[in-house]
Amino acid sequence: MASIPESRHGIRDFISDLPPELSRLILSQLEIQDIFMCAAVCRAWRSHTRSNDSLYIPHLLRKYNNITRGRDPIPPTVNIGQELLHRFPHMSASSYFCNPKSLWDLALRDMHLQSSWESGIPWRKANLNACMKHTDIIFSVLIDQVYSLVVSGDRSGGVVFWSTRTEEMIKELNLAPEPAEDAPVISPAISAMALTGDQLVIGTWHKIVHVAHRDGEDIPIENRAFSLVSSFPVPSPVISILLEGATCIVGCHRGEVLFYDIGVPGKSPNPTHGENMNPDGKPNHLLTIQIPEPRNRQIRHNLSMHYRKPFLFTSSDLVSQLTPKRMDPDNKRDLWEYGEREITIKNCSGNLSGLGPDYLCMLRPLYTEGDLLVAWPDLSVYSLGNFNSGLVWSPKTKVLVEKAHWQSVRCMGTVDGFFLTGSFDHVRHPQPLYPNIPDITLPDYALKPKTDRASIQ
Amino acid sequence: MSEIKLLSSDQATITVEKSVAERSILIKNMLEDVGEVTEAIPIPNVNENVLKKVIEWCEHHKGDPPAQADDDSDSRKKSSDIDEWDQKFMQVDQEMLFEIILAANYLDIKPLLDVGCKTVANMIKGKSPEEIRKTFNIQNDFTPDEEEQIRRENEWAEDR
Repeated sequence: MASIPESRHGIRDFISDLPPELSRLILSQLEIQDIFMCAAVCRAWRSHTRSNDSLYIPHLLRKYNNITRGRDPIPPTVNIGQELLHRFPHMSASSYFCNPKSLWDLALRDMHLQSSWESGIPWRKANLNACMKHTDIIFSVLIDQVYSLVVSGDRSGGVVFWSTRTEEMIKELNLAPEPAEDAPVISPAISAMALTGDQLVIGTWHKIVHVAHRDGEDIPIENRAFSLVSSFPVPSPVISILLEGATCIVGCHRGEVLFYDIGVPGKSPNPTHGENMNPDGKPNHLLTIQIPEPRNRQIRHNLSMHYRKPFLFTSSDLVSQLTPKRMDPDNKRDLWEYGEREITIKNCSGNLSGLGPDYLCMLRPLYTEGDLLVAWPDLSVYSLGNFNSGLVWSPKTKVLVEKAHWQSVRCMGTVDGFFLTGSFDHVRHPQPLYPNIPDITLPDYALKPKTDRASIQ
Repeated sequence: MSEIKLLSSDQATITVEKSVAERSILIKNMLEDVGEVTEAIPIPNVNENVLKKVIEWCEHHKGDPPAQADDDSDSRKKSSDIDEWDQKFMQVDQEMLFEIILAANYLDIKPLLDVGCKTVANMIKGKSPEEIRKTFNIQNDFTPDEEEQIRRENEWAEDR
């Protein structure tokens, strides 16, 4: 570029002084990052870039397609948010795109999210447990989007419901069994939890699965959490648990995958008394599948499970894919059998030295319709896609987990594009005074009340 | 080979090959409407220097295939892909670049307008706000409060 003689420059500028359609043409040549840089130059440039929603549409559409893997391109219409919601009412990404004040806000939100994801630096660390409600190591954690709750379960059988708005405890449960004199001592640990709609299932190391239902309108909204309604025994300690509609899928220590019908919470006949809250009676056992022994004998079965219709994935040191072989004629439910699809993509046996048997791969969905994330014991995270015709693996990021934790990831969660990880980090802290809630990586806005939920459903 | 005359805003007459001038959709339409003209066509918004520069571009590109019908989906393709001759052509001071963009718009020469806009975009790309201000000699007129707001917004870029 020719250097500009001092005396001539600075009289007119390309953004403020050209007709608006021409400055927009210039800005439309830029990547989204550069547009945000332009918005920080001066007031005139800022108002030009901010008022031009059309600048953000190509970026956001690309983003939306990436997220949903949608095939048909969406025309840039006047009200893009409404259009997207209208077209894809069931996409998990809808809430991501829901009700932005402007496309500027949405694009900016995305930049923050992207940089947080790529850098691997937690957006935000919140130690919910500063008040020490948990006095033991936290084994499982999940998020309830309806009331913005975090649910955590610890090694001694404590389950605590936290509000992400106030960061305070709402409710606690103690699920440790009564100590029996003749029975051997078993850890009462809360090893796995799952939540769908108004139903929560809690799997324990002492071979009991608890079912809890969402509190009704008789409880003030700020105190609503879940209350226990029933429980059932399983043959070996629970390692993982899934809830698909009324079907509860339990992955157990010795490789059993059990299917139970636990009903769907209905309206209590008399909510004020809180009795008979289980309209469908006792949980009903449907099916048991036995997964073969893992190759590495040290390893527990079924550390992690994921259901992606019509497949069920289980993982130990490798990932197995179960395929539905028949339909339950009465309930029209898929029932699985152990298929031939067993894939060792990344055998982690070699990396396990020095790590305990707890350090295995974890499966989590990236998005409802997208890839499956798999965290391996060596702290790397892979994504798994293309489920119908040959699975495709690709390294996602290693940095992500390495920067956040010292130790292998013990639990993972994804909510609408946010990624939560938890590990036994505190074991290596110089002074392990009390257990932390696993680091929670959430953008600020995710902690705000989700008043827009109703419009998504 | 027919020639036509153009009259710049500062009253200079420039003779140019008709097919070259017709790179401008404005002139092309005008010629179609009025048929044969012997008088100079007034171009009231463009001065001699800029008009000559624009004609230089049109002469080089007179053999180009006609511009594709508006293909907006493609307009976001990498803006760095300006051909070498055009890059050299655009090595002018910012005032001239500004005028070329205005003239290309007025005369309706879309490929030239694109090259002009891409050239400006390339001057912005990958720069920090401070570097952009320097490039275009722009004063930072934000209040401290606005500065703080912008800093928060652009936290994502701190490691860039």
